[in-house]
Amino acid sequence: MKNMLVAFAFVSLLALAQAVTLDEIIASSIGQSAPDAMKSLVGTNVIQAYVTSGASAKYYYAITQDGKVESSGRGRLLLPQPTVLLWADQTTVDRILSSPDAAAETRKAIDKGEIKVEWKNNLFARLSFGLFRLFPINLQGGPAYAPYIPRNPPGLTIPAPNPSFNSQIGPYPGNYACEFYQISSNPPSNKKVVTCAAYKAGDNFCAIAMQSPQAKAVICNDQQVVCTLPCSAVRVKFVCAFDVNRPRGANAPPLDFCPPPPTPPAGPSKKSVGSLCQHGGECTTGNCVGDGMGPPWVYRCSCNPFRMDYGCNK
Amino acid sequence: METKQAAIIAAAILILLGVLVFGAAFFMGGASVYAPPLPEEGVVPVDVPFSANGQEYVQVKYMVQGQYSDPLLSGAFFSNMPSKTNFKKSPPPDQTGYEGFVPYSLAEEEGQKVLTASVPNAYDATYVRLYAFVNGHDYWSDEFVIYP
Repeated sequence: MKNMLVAFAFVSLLALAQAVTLDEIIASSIGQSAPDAMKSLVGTNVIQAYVTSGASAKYYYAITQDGKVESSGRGRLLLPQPTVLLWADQTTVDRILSSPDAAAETRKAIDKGEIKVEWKNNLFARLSFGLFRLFPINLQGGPAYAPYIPRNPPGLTIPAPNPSFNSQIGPYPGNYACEFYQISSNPPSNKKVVTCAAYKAGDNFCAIAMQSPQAKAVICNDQQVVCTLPCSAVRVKFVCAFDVNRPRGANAPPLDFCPPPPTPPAGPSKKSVGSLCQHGGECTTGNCVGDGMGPPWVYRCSCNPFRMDYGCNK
Repeated sequence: METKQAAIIAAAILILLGVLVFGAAFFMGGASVYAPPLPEEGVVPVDVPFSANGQEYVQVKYMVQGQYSDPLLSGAFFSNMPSKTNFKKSPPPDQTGYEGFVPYSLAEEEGQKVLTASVPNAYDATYVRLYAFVNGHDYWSDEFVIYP
């Protein structure tokens, strides 16, 4: 039963992971807590799940506190160490999620060994579960579903960018520049991103923030960090790393102090009608025709493509 | 004498049965679950929560496997829409369509280098992908959605 609950919680989490819209999340009715009678069974645990598909694996975790899911997410947890490991194949998970009776399908999958549950470092848990298997106890009721609680509104309001804001950054000829603020203006607080006094801390921060080892910190103080990157070092187009306090935009592109790209050199000027030529491309009119009583002829630019004509040159 | 022997045999049988029941209970207590091996190179998510729980930023954690230069180029790319790029081709960051990027900071957990990045909780759903440039290759995690 304990394994059943844990596995069901796991499947519920997977349903959450696969839900892509708010409606789907509501429809998936995520089980967030167990009924009181079951709390001691689900208990306080760190559940790590692996879902394999061929050679690849996806990782999920859930941390329960007194039967309630305290936090959950994706990833291969290092701390806290898992107390329960679960494994399932992606096809099994898909089958459970598409079944009208997910609980029964989960039970079947456990019985068939398609979901494996291992309790770590917990002899009592292993024994108690084993005894449940040996002497099944029909505990009534499955995991309860908490009513859907509207989610909190987004926690961060990104101010509208103000591209006309004169940040007085630079100029740094031959470089791109990104600025970061170490003090938040609203509400006023210190949000230090780098301790400038530490050896190479500013340069390291800039290298990571601008995604290039050639980036350098040209200003680094308790208020602001300005990073530059040589124009020649830019491998791909990029945006400055997110900073909600950047007036010209949290996701703004870098300030561009790069020289304009060289324009291709202008070709030699075309020849006017009557000038000597070798082909039509040399002439403003595009026509180069033989002139005189030749052969040999003298070739000149002409208004007419078939005979010498100075008519358009007036 | 025979009664004593019978009692000893009965006790031995009871002890044996007890050991068998204990052993069966223990070993049926859980099947062995073997963690899949880590990739030799790439990005391994360690903690990407489902929800930011209303906080201004949500902290994501991950590991980077493989030989990389110092400083490591890595971070979390995000947007309010999923990326439409084909990540099987390991695209560079500018071809992904993500509108934001947050760099990592280094931490250590269980003796392993763990990278953390604070992703802003600013949208109805934040689509996040973890990135690392390792050994000349662009590596990406799966795309994760984080709700407010």
